[in-house]
Amino acid sequence: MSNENTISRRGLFMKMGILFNGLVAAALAVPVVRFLLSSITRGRANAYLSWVSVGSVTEFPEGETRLATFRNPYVTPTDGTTVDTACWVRRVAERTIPGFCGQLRAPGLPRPLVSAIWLVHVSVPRRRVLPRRLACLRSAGARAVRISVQSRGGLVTIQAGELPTPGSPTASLVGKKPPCAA
Amino acid sequence: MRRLITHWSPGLTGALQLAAPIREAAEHPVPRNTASWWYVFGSAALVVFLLQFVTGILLALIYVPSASEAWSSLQALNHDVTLGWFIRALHGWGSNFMVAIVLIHMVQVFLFALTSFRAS
Repeated sequence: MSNENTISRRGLFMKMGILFNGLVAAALAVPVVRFLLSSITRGRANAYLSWVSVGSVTEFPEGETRLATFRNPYVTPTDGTTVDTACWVRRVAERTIPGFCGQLRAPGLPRPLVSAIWLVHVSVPRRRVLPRRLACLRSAGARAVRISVQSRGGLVTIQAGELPTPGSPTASLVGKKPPCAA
Repeated sequence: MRRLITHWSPGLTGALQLAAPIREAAEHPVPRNTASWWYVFGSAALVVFLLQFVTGILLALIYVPSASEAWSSLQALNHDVTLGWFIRALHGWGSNFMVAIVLIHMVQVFLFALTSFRAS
């Protein structure tokens, strides 16, 4: 005894099968499409190239080296405080050629949050603190990587780039060569 | 509606023409003793293989297989590309599942063939 409104057992399973297969197909297809459209939909610029502040210009008297921290712009939500990077900033004399940056692992120095301490000599001219791009070198293993430094609105900002890690000692930019790799 | 779609896109016309054979294959009656979950693993292996194929091509678009660029390309894949980490995980886990599913499928084929041979 059947009428037109009754669905057969076979038909029910067929519809359920189509439904479940459609759900799985959508779950797989959506990430694939998002992946393919990533270069279009991804709005943010490369985080490596963003400028981060290490503090106000007034915090760095001329001829003195001060400890500063900055947050690595290249982070993931699970990184926590491990991406707060310590650095030494030295404001050298006016019109001095941008100085040297090197990894410093001297005993007795404060090691606030991370094991690696970076020595960054920043040259900020006393009378010319308006946006002015300078640069210094940071040693990264056997290679030297240039760190761009400039003062913006009274803040010393650096373009740290990709910080070297044990997995990437040469710190190459994603998809690009380091701007001034030795 | 169907006429409108076929007029609008010849490609969709082909898709609509495929609908009937697919439906026929899906509704094709099979012997009762073959309506078993053991027969799932063949088509499952095919699905996982296709998944590996597609995700492998997607990963190859980003990954650079060189000593100097491999790590950076994986960093970009995991952090910069939308859902790149997911596609990579899908490919990684899919490879493991494919081995398992193909092994189960092989065992099923050999054992079922053995029992059918003894029965005859």
